[in-house]
Amino acid sequence: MNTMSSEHEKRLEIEMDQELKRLPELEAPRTLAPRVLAAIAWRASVPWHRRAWETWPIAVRTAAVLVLLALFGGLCFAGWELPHSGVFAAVASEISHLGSGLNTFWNTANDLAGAAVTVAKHIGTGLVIALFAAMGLGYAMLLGLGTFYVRLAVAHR
Amino acid sequence: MTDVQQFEAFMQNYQNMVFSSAMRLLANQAEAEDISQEVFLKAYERFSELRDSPTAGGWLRTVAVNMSLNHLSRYRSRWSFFSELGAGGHGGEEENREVEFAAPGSLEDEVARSDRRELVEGALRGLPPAQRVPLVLFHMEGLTYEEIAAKLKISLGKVKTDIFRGREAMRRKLRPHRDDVRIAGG
Repeated sequence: MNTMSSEHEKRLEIEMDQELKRLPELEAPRTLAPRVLAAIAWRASVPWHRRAWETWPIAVRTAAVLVLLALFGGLCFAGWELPHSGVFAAVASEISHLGSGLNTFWNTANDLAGAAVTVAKHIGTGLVIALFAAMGLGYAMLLGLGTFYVRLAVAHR
Repeated sequence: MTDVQQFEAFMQNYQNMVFSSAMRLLANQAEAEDISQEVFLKAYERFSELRDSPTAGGWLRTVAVNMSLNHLSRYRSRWSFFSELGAGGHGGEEENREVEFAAPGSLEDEVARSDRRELVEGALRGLPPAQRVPLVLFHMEGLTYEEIAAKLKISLGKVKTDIFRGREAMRRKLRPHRDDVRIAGG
């Protein structure tokens, strides 16, 4: 039984291989070459600094690598030197000041959330559930409309 | 002859091959043309190397296959949720449509060789992507089961099953005129 099945598979493989390999190449659309040439012309008209990095002139690419290396070296040096300088203490103090600002923001957000909970308790759980249900329904409607329009667009291709 | 003119001649030599690879994997003319354009733009960036390379054809073919597979995995998976709603798969009606044949016996006399090839092309296009893609990669692009599994990031077993199912589906679609198709190819 197994031998028969594997024989069938082998025969099928050979048969399909012959049929598919016999197919000639498909003819490319006439629009392909003009499209490619137009895209090449457009790319050539774009200034070098707006093209992909690999296509920049070699001298500019070398300069860019050197600048990036210098920046990286500078950052490493600064990372090593700053903790030992007075500037670091000033920056740390500034950051802790910024941290206190964030803390205030967090407290305000907490208070607002607390207020929202109080309001929800006041108006009743049922209404809150209804509001969430309405939001869910609205979202589902948007998804449905989006699906409909996408399918419409795909069908018209 | 300028660089662009040389590239145009280069493109004329290979455009059918690139388009065929993309078209058979994607089964969509507009998408295959887009992919072919991208392949040739990539080739233009490396034209200095490819111009006289004997492996230019292989390079173009590999890039066309990889770009088509990327397109299938990235672009189509994004829209599969929409396209599969109600349609029953990407191919929609195309997937379940049997290739239409003329009455057995009369075909050999009436249908030209190109029409017979069109039957096979149509049967291939009608396969769902899960079967068509590994089938094309195996039989037409010459990849091994292992290479296909690695490219599609699926198990070796699934590759073998999908290819077998694809062959069976093709056989079912072509069975009424299998002998005619065989005769057509010599």
